Amino acid sequence: MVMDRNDRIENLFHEAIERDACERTAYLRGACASDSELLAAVESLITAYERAPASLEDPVLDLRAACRTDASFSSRAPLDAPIHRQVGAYTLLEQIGSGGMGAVWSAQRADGRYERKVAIKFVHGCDSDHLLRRFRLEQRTLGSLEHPYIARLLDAGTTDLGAPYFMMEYVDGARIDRYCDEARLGIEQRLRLFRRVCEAVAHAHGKLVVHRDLKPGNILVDKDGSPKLLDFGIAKIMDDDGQNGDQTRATSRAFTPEYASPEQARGEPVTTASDVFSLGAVLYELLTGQRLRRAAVDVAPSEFEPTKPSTVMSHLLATSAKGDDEGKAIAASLLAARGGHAESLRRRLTGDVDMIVLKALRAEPQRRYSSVEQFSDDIRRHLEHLPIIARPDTWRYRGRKFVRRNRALVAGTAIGFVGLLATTIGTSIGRAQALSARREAERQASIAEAVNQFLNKDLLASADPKKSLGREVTVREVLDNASKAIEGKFPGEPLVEAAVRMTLGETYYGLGDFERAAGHVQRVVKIRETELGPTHPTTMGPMNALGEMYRAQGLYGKAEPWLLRALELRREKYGDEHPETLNSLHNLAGLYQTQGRHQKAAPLLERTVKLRRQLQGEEHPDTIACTVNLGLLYQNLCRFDEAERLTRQTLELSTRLNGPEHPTTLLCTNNLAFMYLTQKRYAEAEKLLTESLETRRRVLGETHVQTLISTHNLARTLGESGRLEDAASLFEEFMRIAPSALPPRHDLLGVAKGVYGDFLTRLGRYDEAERELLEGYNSLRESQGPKDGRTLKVVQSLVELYDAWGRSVQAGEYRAMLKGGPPTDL
Amino acid sequence: MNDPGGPVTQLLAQISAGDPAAEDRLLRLVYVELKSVAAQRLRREQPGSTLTPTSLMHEAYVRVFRGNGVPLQNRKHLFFAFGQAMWRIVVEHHRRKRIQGAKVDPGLIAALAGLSRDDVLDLDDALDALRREHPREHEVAILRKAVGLSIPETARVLDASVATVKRRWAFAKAKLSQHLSKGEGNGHGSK
Repeated sequence: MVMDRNDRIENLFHEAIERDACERTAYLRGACASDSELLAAVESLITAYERAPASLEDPVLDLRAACRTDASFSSRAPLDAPIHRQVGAYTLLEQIGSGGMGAVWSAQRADGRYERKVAIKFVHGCDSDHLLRRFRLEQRTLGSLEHPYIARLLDAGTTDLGAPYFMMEYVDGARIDRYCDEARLGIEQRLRLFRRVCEAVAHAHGKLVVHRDLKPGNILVDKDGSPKLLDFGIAKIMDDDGQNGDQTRATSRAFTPEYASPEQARGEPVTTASDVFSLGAVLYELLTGQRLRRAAVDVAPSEFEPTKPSTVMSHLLATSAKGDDEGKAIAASLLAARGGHAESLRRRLTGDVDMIVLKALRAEPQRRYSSVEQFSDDIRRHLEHLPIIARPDTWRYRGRKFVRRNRALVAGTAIGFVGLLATTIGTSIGRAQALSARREAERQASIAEAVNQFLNKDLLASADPKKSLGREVTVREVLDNASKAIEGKFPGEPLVEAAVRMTLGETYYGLGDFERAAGHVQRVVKIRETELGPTHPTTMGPMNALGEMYRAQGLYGKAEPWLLRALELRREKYGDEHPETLNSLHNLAGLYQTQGRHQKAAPLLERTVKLRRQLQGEEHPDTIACTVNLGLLYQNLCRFDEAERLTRQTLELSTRLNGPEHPTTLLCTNNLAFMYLTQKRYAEAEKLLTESLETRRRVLGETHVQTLISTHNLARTLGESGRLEDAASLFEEFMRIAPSALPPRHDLLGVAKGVYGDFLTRLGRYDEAERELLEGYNSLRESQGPKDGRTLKVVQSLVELYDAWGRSVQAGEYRAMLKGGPPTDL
Repeated sequence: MNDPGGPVTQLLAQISAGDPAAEDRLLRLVYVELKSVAAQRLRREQPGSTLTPTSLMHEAYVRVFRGNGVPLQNRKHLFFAFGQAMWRIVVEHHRRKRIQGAKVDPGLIAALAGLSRDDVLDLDDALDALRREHPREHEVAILRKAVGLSIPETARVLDASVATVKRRWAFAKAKLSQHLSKGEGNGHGSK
């Protein structure tokens, strides 16, 4: 192979810098001979290398440093050392706290006219004039907050040095979390104390004041054991301060991420529901000793759902049994502070308390307790052993999380076309079933529990390294075991069965076993249609998935009705411009595309791309997926320029977002190479394919369908550029692996046999060519139909074979089949 | 990552000392930590409004783990994706601030070893040019510059020999330096 000019420059560069400066010139002159341009290019690089600023050697960003900074971030010493000794008539006494906004000091009047201490809270980085204006505006409302558990906001002002501050009633007390631990309050006492906190917040809500920054640091407990809430109203003043510019807004955004509700963090209007969330976070911490964020599990943020308090206790139980010394010590002190051991605490929290806490912490405000009173009242009901109103969440989240966890083991995208299986959960559940909301909720609860049990005991248990004796258990084995276990496991509980099967189906799909995937999902659709009706959100998702799974198997006739049905139902239910509807549209277009009905696919896919760009943005994975497909579609429609442009764009985007070895990036590379191939730009195609084949072999393994596609495409490129022998040997390798690695009806196998046969014909190996072509023809005719473009392509190859072989009778037979011409849909 | 004992630092040290098990532990730790933080932080911080070292990390977690739902295959992917994400965030932040004519957060400048806005955008151009023609060298450059790995660490992460990484890094440096000196004195066209 002729060495690329860039490679030569690179090689010469390396050769040169290993030599002494004096040898170097002579070496390069010799190596470059008369190519003065080459010499200049290398010399310029060497100069650049030698003159590289020392700073180029230093990292710009440093993961370690960032981790260090981050770890110490929250405990960083306050920056505002006491520059101010005096604030108005008050003398600062001692620093009593530090918050995200600034330090808090205790202070006392210097002239002794007012004996009581006050707390002065300095605020950083905000416009003090504006702050004071806001304060005056809010003062009346805040003045009406008179409650024994609420510390009063007395004044706001600016120091002589221009630092804005708030002045509050001084509270001599301990943070609620520390108080509870030091007083060794049990769960019961903690709940009762917490209800008193709720009482104060409810009072403020009654006066239309939302706290916005509830956290343990803002809730003190005094010597008498009464709570005292600090900073009421401050957050609102701070927040409103930010409207005069991005810079101030950023710094004055006054909430604590660990306790802030999702809507608050998004910058949406803050309501009493936000305080409910923050209170939930506080209670979570009081009960478990863990901050909410530390205990959060592996979930997509949109489906934020914290670990149940009782589960946190189970973890602690595990840690105290077999953790390291430090872990044991932490666990022990945590348990001691709650007056019990982990198992009894776990049992205490399981059920009601879990549900109460989680209900307060729902991501969507409307699914939380409707008020702080309701929250507090549910705790009372629990304490009095009355049934609580918190309902368990639906099981679907769990199923989805299971799949997400296992995706880590599941690598891989669909073939060529990127199928989308995501059956996002509709939020309409509950609203739709107003009639039997209660029964529905109870049913959901029992399903959730049963699914959990099954997933944990039957499914995940077999992945437990202890049970598999150190042998690596594949996801595949786990699934196969579970598939067996599920039969007859849930008599009379069809919805539980459906939930489990959906999980299994999606995971099989991820593994590329579309047949088994479809088997499970088919049952899901059947069960849910009967039990819930066809328009239930959880029925439409599987319908769509089933269609996609049939498509992936090459069962197009079966795929289409399901996809159409899901699309119709979703259109009715969600409208045209909904991600769910687009998902269906995407998959339907994908089916047409795979079938070669490109004209039919184009408008659907164009619409999907357009809407996705608008609704979900350029960089959304779903947008990228359908853009990849559209590129391929244009290729098939012979709109080469658009195809290449779109594919290059997506390749660029995916490389930037996902890195060079990401499946999507590799898919784009492959598609681009395919485009070069059809345009007979063999050198470019070969370069891309060689690279991507190497990467796929390494990353995905020899037998992965994507690796096989790369192998096939490279073999084809070699053959078409005239390197028949190389092509044939690569095809032999392909044929050795593919039949056992691909599902039996997979069109790739038939197509590959056709192309391979072509090359064998041209090599004069007619016997072998005939065998490959006939096998390819038969399999394609069976799976795709006799008039399919791919089938006819092989027929064409057969004609060419028999012509070359001099067997005119057979040639004539097959030629007759071509009379109808290629499919008009192309 | 609220890791008081600094296990990330320790693990990286063990990795450079050649302990293969440390890599697994690090990956696991980073995964768990990053995912939980990502879950919490997404949308909780307004992306781009301010950028402290902390929020930079968090936003990077979010980008890396929101990804495509397709898992990162190995440590190389993880580190590379992470470095890329952090770097993209920094660059976007600087671009935005330039458009707004606003100052870059002081905390960020500290995190960036004192690079100015122009430095950052120049370097990004240079990295981008490198990526187009020499993806392998670009990979090394990202791991060195944006993740802060040493040469031996980079070699371990890439599963390549130290000599190879040295060569790639030398070439990357030459290319970057060439590009940076060319760009001197020119204005920055926004892309």
